[in-house]
Amino acid sequence: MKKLLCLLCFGLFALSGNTFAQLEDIEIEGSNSLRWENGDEVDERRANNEYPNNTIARRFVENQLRLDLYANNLRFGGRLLYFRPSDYDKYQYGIADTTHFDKLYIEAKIAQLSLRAGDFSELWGYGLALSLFENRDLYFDSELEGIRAKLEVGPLRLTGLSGTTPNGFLVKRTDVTAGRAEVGGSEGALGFSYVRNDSGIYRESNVAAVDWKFTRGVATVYGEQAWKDTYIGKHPDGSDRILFGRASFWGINLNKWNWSLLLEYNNYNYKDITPIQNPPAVYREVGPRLLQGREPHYLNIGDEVGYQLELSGSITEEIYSTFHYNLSSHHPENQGGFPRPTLQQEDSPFWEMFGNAEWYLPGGRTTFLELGANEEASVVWQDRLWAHAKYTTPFKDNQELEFEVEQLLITEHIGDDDHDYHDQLFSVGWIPSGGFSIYALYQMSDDENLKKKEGDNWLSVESSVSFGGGKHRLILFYGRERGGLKCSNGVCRQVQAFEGFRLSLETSL
Amino acid sequence: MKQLAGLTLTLLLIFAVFSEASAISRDWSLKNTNGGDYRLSEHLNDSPALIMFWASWCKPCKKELNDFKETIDFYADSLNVEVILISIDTQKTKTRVKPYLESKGYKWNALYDPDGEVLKMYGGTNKIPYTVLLDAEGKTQWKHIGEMKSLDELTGKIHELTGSNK
Repeated sequence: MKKLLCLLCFGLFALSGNTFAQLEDIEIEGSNSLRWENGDEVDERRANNEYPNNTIARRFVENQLRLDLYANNLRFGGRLLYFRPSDYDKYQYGIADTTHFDKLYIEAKIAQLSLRAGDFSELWGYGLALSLFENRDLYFDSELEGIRAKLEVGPLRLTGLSGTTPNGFLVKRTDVTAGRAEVGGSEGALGFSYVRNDSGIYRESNVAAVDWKFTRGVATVYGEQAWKDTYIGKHPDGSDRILFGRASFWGINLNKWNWSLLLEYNNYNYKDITPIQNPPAVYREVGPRLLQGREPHYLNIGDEVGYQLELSGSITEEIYSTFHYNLSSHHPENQGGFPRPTLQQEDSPFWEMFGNAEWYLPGGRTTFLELGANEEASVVWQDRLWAHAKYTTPFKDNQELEFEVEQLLITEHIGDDDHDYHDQLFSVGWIPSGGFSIYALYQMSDDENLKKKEGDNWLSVESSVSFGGGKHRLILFYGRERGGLKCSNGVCRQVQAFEGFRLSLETSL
Repeated sequence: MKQLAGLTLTLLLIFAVFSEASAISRDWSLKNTNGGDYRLSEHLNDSPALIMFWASWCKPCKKELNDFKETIDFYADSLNVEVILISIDTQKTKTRVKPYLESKGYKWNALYDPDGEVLKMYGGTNKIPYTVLLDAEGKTQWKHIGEMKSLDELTGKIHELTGSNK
């Protein structure tokens, strides 16, 4: 398929040049991302040894060259991937060295019709029915290789697609066929989706969903409701055994006087999980760095119910503030009425509350302060309290200094025992010009178990420089970095503690 | 599957050869924060467009918007520059976009690009903020990866494109 596509791409390129015969109509745009790491990482296979005798050499190179060519209404492009994962990643995630075009696509538009063949990502509604994306850091790729057609007729938009996901670490090969109709205007939209998943690895399933978003005055209401059936085998009488699941996501947002109130509720009960559905979480996914290193909560779309309430706005022109509370848990057994989360430990609750404020002070100074608390009773059972402060100030000749402190107090409940830990983070940054910055970061912890696994202090220096008129950005890192569960967009992967040198070069061509 | 792909590609070729060119060089459509559609070609009225890619979780992006709000408003009002904020928040965080922009009083066009499709169209990587300046035909004239500490270079380019004096 890829070879055929590649061949036709080059053919089309040549033909389009002859047909249009106007080079000024052809544009090429692209980017290149290079990551190189050289150092040591913790090896879980040597868990019997204490740090630093549990490490293995880490040599990692990844280069992604992405090019797009536009010729009138025709676009084609692809990505050349050069990938040399570390030995530990090869073992842990079953990935291998590779150099090939892993993404190729061609797209044409005529009037309101758009056709694409090759690789593509897609998000429908809020992702309860279909959400296809790639995250290279997490080795997650649910993008389809196939065909997609989109047609716009006035306020109506129709989409049909068919394709196969690549076989990888977090996503296995599966065939997907789906269709969507959406009608919308300036004040709202309504969408209907249907997705069929059929493969020998994941169980066959069908998802139907309706999503909406409407704005009237100060209020915006939005959400999605989905129904899923999964084929799980045969009954003794020969009839199909079907597992029925459902998922709901509802939200309302009120805006008035530069203040905003957000209330969101989810009730995910899909029972059977496939990686092509990826609905929203009703909690903050990206928080202070110390918190991210402590088993952050991650969404269980097979069984989770929760809500979040957030008030944010400007207290004065200079002060912007946010107050937040959320609670999620598994569905409690024998709960009557409207599904709602509980704080019972057997339902694996997660709750969090925080308040923060950003001050924009005279003279270009800025301050950020956050206080918060949460409790996670899932993989671990921990209570956490944190404070996070950041201060940025300019000084002579347009230079800038940045200071940051995070403090995290953890109480971990193991059986009848409680263990208290204290994690700390200090950072100082110097930004002498718009294109250059350097930061020193120091973290420490008194967690004895963590000390055995990856040490009790982590010092690193990171510098970034932009050049070529902002088209290139080089980031250099040297030092020690904590491991932990790395999550993005609801997808998580365990990342090992690392010590060494890292280079990252982003180029916009 | 291969037959289907072959058929599609043939159709694509036919469409590409016989279709008329769009009014601008690279057109796209995204959802705005109210749920409606925003098509670039419908908003470029002989003026440049400033596209700022950001996300609700990106602190440098938010600082940049705050620091340069007045300057951006000035160019939007005086030189008719089309200002477009494109959030790459995924469905996990995109519901925070509208509350943030409205509570900060930003009146610019605010769009969602949750799978980064438009970001990739302009050579963007996963590093944001990412700023792109388009001419009136939708062609890329200037871009910048990362936070900008000064708008001198950008505003110079805007004056160049609009033919106005600094």
